[in-house]
Amino acid sequence: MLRKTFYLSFIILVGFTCSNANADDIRHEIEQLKARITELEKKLAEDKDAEPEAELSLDEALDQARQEQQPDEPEPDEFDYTLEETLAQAQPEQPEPFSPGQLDFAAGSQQAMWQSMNPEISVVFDGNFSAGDKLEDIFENIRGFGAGPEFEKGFNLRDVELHVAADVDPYFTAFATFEFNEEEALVEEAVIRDTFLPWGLQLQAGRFLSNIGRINVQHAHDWDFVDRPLVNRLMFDGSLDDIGAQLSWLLPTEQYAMAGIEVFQGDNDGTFNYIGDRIADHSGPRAVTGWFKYSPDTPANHETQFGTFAGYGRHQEEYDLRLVDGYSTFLGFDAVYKYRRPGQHYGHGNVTFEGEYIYRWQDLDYVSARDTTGDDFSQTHPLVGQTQENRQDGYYLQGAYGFAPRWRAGLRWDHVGLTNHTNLHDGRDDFGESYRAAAMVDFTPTEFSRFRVQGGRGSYDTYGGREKAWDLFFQLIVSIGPHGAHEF
Amino acid sequence: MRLKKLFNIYGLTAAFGLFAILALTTASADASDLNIVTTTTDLASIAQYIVGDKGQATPICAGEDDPHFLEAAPSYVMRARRADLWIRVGMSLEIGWERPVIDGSRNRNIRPGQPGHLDASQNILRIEVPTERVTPAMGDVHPEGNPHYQTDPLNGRIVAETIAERLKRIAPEHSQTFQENLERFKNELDERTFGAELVDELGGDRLWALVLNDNLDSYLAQNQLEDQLGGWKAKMRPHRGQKLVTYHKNWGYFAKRFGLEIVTELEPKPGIPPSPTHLSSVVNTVNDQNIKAIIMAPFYSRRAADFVAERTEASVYVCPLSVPGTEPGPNGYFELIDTIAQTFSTALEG
Repeated sequence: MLRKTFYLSFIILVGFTCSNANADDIRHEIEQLKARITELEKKLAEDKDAEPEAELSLDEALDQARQEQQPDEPEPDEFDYTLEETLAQAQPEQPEPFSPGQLDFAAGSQQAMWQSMNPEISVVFDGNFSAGDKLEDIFENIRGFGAGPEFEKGFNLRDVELHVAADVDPYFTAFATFEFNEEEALVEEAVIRDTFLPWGLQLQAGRFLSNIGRINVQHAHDWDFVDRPLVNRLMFDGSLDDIGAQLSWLLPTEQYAMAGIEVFQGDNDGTFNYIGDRIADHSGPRAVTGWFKYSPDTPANHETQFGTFAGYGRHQEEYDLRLVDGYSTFLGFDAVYKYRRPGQHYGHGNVTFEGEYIYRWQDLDYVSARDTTGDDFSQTHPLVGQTQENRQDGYYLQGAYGFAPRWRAGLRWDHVGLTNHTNLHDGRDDFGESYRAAAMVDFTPTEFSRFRVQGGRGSYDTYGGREKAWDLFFQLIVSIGPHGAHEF
Repeated sequence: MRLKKLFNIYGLTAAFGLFAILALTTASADASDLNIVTTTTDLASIAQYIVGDKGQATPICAGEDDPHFLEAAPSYVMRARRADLWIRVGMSLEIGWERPVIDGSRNRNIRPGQPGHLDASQNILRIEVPTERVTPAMGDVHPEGNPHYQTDPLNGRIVAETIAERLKRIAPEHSQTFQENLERFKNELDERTFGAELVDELGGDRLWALVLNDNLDSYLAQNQLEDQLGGWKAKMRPHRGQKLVTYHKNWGYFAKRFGLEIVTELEPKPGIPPSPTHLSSVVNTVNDQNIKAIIMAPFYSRRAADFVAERTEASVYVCPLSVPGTEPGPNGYFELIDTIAQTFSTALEG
């Protein structure tokens, strides 16, 4: 428009300057100028047609392209959705550029960002079918130890585990695991963990699984085998988990080294058992553990970690004829090696080896006793003041190999009671060793499901003499909800 | 009884203190250089270009491996611990291992939301963003869209801008260097995409704007510049509209940018390995549409691809998806797109 106005004013100007010239000349000149204007206008219009979009800057074009990829222009060929799925789901929000200040681990779009305001919730189903002779009672009768049965014969729903996790605020993160089995609901873990302490320190508090060794801190559905290794099961009657606090420290060394100390209320069957009133009251915390894990530099795709751990705390126990009160102490070592075969998929070619060794001392005093089970316990019984000393140990070694994509095979060797004796007021009882071998094959269709078959044969030193037993498990683990990350 | 004393709380505290003293005697790394840790080699290569001599960028995942399936490990924790800037691909690609690595590193500066944590996907052009809510029954569909965006050079260019912006924020004293490096990166990428002549003539921004508006060809034709088109655009131009099959949805961005058509995948659903039923339908598709190329990333098993190739006219080509190795140089990203363009062009000619 500007150019047009300019030409018109030019014509008028020309008209005035030529007012004294010949009228024909002027008319001719005007005709010429008119033609010229039309030509220019035409050219202008052509230019516009030739590059209509090129006038956009790169930024504008990028914005436009981002608009175009929004869900209102779906790409139906790219995803094979069924009608039910499509109908059942609401329209997602548009992914647009967003502020990096509000992202969390799972987020990658606004949609995910909004969802992340809610805790991450997942549920794990862990069930199995177990078979075997003496499956239900043999572990209670192993001399020097004692633990309840892990599975019944037949179908077991070990647990339905509800896992909830979220960042609390910029300073804390929290997670909780609730375990529902057929009888009860338990708080397996409820942890608040800081994200602000400096110098590689981290504090956590709540109910949690102790970070001693390898197996203890892992949830059952993350294990390479259906059941817990014999030594962990017999020493701690399951896992060592309790209410308390943990301080851990990632050392500022060139190689990975992490030290931790945990203080627990001290109420855990097996090693830090507390009965209280009937024996003696002791205020908490009654148990403390410490651990150190070290990982040397290894070539790419190989990872090794060595650990040592110890614990010390109050332990009370009730026998038929005596009540005892004293302390448990344990010391252990663990090691793990993992190989990830490069350039492979679905775990094909991966190798894992790991093992733990635990030695436990228990020094207990008789606080009351009786002569027969019919009598009342007496604190003035002549045996009161005598001591009971238990010494037990055990280890396991296991390995797994990914023999095909998504398929693994594993072997485990359990051995307990290399040291196994008890000193009582009337002398020393020496107990025998128990050992077990197990083999498993598992198949992991996706990150959310796993099938496993495991068979084992063991030889156990029980109060009824040496017993041999076999066991067989078919296990199915399924998880729903977001795919959580796995620890090393 | 002596053991009790050994393991009492004071003993453990003392041991803890001893480690503290030992640890503090070990010197920390050079503080002046920026330490950038990226999840993939592609990001490391671009970040290295931008940071130049002001720092080092190292990847966690080797180029031959699938970053989706790594597992957290102590060595990753150690690298994260010393990082000034952590760059991830995002779009849930690292969801299986990023959190334990960053949590374990105790490095507050690289937690999400901090300036030291950068999601490289934040400004990229996305494809295959699901229009319905995603469920695992669909396979491994990422709710944010297809995360393999590095195969589109325009996304590489956008990522370079994103990284430069963040570097300027965390090390403002080197802003000018980062800006200069970014300009050089963009210029080199543009020249490799369109050829140096055309970039000189029109400028990279203008060319990309034409591409995004789907007007590059008509513009070049109108202005008799077609002969000047070089680079990847020229290399892939004869193959526009050609069809191929890939193993996984790894190449959608490259195909979209260069006008190729990916007809189907060997996987029935993303992340679900090929089944015999699905493969036989792929065989039919390949035969019906006379497809000549099956392209797969190096970390997948060749069996399924070979199965289809034996029953059709198609051949199998293994193409890198990321800059190979663990030490990508600053030019690694350009070489990657070179290799992808070469492989696709060879495959489609064959």
